[in-house]
Amino acid sequence: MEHSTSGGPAWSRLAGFGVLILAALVVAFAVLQSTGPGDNPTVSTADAAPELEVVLDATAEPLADDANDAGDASDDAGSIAAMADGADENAMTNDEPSPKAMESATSEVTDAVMDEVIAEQDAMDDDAGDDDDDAGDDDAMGQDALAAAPDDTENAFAFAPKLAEAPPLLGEVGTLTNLDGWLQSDITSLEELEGQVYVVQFWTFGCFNCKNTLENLRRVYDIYGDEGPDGNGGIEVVGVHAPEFNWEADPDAIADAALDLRVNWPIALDTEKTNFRDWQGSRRFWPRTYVVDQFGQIRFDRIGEGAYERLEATVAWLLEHGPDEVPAT
Amino acid sequence: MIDLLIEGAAALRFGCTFALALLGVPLVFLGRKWMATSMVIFWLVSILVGWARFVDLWPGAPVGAGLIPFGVAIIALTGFGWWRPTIWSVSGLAVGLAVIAGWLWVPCVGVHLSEPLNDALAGDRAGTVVPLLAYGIGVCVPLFAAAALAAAVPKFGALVQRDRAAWVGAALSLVLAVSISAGWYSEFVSRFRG
Repeated sequence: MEHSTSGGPAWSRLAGFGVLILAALVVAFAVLQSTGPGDNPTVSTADAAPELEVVLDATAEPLADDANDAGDASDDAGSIAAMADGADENAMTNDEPSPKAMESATSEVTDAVMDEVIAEQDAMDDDAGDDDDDAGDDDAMGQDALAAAPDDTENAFAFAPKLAEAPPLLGEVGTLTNLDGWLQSDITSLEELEGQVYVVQFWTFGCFNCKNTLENLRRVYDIYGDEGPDGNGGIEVVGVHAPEFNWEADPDAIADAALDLRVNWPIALDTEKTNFRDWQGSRRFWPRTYVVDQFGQIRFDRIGEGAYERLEATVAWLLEHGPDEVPAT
Repeated sequence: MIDLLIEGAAALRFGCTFALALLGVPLVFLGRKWMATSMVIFWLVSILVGWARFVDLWPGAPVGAGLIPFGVAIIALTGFGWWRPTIWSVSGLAVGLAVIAGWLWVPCVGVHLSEPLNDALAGDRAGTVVPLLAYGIGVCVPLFAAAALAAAVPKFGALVQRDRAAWVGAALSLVLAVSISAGWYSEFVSRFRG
């Protein structure tokens, strides 16, 4: 008996030390992960189909940069659209942002960013050993650069990830009820989007994982929003803001966060989280992203981060095929 | 699995995940010599309840007045575990806290956790259990570390097994119970984690 009582604590201490060492290792790896590339909210290369990497990288890289660095990473016309996005951030100093204001800000590329576009183009020309007649002409070069962006957007369907088959029907979309209002929106209900492809995302601005999805959602919105790549109507994105904490519920704080995070799509204020619960049932997560087709059917449902290519592919498929080819039920 | 485990530990920085682990903290002070057992019970039960919710076998957490029974249960189980500390009362407290933790848990879903959860959404219920348990180990690392420290360092073990420590655990349980019943739990968590 004595033997067992004296041996017990020794084993216990040894096991304790073992668990402590393991716990320390886990914490060390967790800290490394949280300060490493895992924090980079750009397209995950692991998530990307190999053949898409070039296209995705070209657009994702500038988005990851600060607006002041927007010109640094541009190598092609595709990235110029992202630079205009950077200018958008520079121009968004208005206290009362709206989608239209942001849109106009996007079109008014600042001189500073244009200078970077020109400098980048000059560098490319020098490298190629090509004496371009327009190289010293800032305005002409700027126009050329901007003109290239829509061409790239028009080819979005060609470059978009492809679905092997039609996206599955996952049920009828719900409605948004008991909202506290809308921010930066011309719509006041999802019913107004009937006949249109749209993305609904439940998020909150304090959620790290939600923020990680925004770069990619913005990218999809930039390419497929407005009139769409083919001019036949684009998508809308609706961010349903369901705050986890009270400090995330203040509309002014949400508007400020939307500016900081460059969320330029309509935001529905689900302050009481009524829709967060109703839509997700017992399976409630931040973030949750849905793609809804022209007939109000959910065609994509994603919990958390990732599957960015599938989201884009679903949007592209629905837009490309149009309501005539998309089954109604 | 290792990625999930590490993601779980890293996610403790966020309020949504910290809310799960915080409910296990009273066990550090009320677990006494069964602290390690109670931590394992807390990890297993909370994650399994969470899993049951995520695969649609368990209802979503109630709101408003529906949360009051949660607080009452915590107070009752804490009182029992504090007044008559046995392996059964401590285990009962661990189960109670874990059920509530798993029920209230709304994860912020990162890259690695999203895969099993989306598999569950697609109908793969069984395949979700092990990944979630791995994630849960990461989330419960501080609790396991506390139990390991108590076993490895007898002075610390004696410190947290004293009656005064049990008072601390009971007080913390009371605060958690009141904040859950009143619907302030998220706010309470946000005091520690944004």
